[in-house]
Amino acid sequence: MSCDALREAIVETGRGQEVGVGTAAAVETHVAHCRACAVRLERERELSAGLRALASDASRNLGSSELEQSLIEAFRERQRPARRAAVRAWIPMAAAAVLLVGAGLWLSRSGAENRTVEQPQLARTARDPSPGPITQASKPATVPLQSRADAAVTKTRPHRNLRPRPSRFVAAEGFVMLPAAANLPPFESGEIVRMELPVTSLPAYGLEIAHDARRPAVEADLLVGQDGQARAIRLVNSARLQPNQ
Amino acid sequence: MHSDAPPDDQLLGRIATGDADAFTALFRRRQGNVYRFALHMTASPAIADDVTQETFLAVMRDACRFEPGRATVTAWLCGIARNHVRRRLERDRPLQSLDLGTDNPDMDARLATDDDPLGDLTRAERLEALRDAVLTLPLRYREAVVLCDLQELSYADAATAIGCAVGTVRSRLHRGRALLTRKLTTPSEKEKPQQSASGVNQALRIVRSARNLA
Repeated sequence: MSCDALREAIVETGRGQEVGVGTAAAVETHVAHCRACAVRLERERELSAGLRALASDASRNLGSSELEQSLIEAFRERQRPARRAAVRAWIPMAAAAVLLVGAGLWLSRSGAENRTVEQPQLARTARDPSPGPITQASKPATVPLQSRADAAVTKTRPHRNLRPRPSRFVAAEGFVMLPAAANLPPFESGEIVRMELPVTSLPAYGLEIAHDARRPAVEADLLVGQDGQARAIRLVNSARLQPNQ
Repeated sequence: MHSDAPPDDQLLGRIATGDADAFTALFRRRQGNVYRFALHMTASPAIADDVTQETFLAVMRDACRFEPGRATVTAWLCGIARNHVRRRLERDRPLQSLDLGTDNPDMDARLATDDDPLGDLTRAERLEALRDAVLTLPLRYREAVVLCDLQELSYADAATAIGCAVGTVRSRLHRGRALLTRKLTTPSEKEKPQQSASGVNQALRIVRSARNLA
């Protein structure tokens, strides 16, 4: 092989790099007969040794000892704003969630109010529960409720434990105060909850209804106070009530 | 490195998630590589410190950008350091000093503490001659020599750090070594008369001595 062909191989051999068995043999053979390349190879080896010594000498250099601490501090400091930013990123999301929930509530309530609009007499009855055909045995149910309900926001929404049954049209009936409500705190605000009651349970609410075998249950509105306790009841539509006296 | 120690790329992954311990571990493991690369390139411990700092600040920012299959972490770090070195050399060009002796008192003190003061002085002078020769190389050749011969990176890793082809690195290294040999064997006009008189033989003695020390 010529000197030029082996030039790179001589450098790599001088650096102590693997050049392959064939190339190494070619270099060895060549430098054995070529004085110039032998000198060149020797210089490459000496240069590599010098550079290794330089690297070894520099290997003890590690730079400033304070750098580590300051960088680690910087790293931690960098993470703090990142965490704060993460928290800040949650704020609009949380706000959006609150708005969504609020909007949902508002919609559900406005839906309920719409139902109330569809049931004007019901709402009016709640605020102005003028005595209807239903009367309570001991005292008029509407009198104590009226004054409280005037100041109260009356809402209609499903109760957790009761099954509401929406009706397209509700005829107003007077509320009858429940006997159990006599000892409850004054009514301040509440809800009207519609539910279906077995006819046989009505006496327990202080009501009686003409027995009709075809109607084992009747729809009733319960006026539930601010504490979740029912204050009064009225039957819906055509149920004919009689005081339970 | 301890066998149980996580590999560099794993540490980088953890750094990307904000793990301060991983950052500390990587810094302790690789700070020397970055610092020495910058020191070999600039001969200034102050610049090397700055470059090390900038490099690891970049690690904080860009750990997630490291691509494990593409290069080693050392090559990636050297690539970042290289950019900072170049920027710094460009900025400080009028002020750049190649006199390592005045810029690195710690190294001089350390070299003077060995057993043979006269031999140490000679050794220090010879190493300094070689160091100066490296520093006078054009930047592109210096990078190749420092990365491949002083930092002992593979051609592939050096190519990643420099951002060029492997063949380019190889040719730059060979060219750089040829220039070094020429510098060390040919006395310059600036050299002192006694140095000029010794010629090639003295230069060869320098590297031979360094070789014996290696």
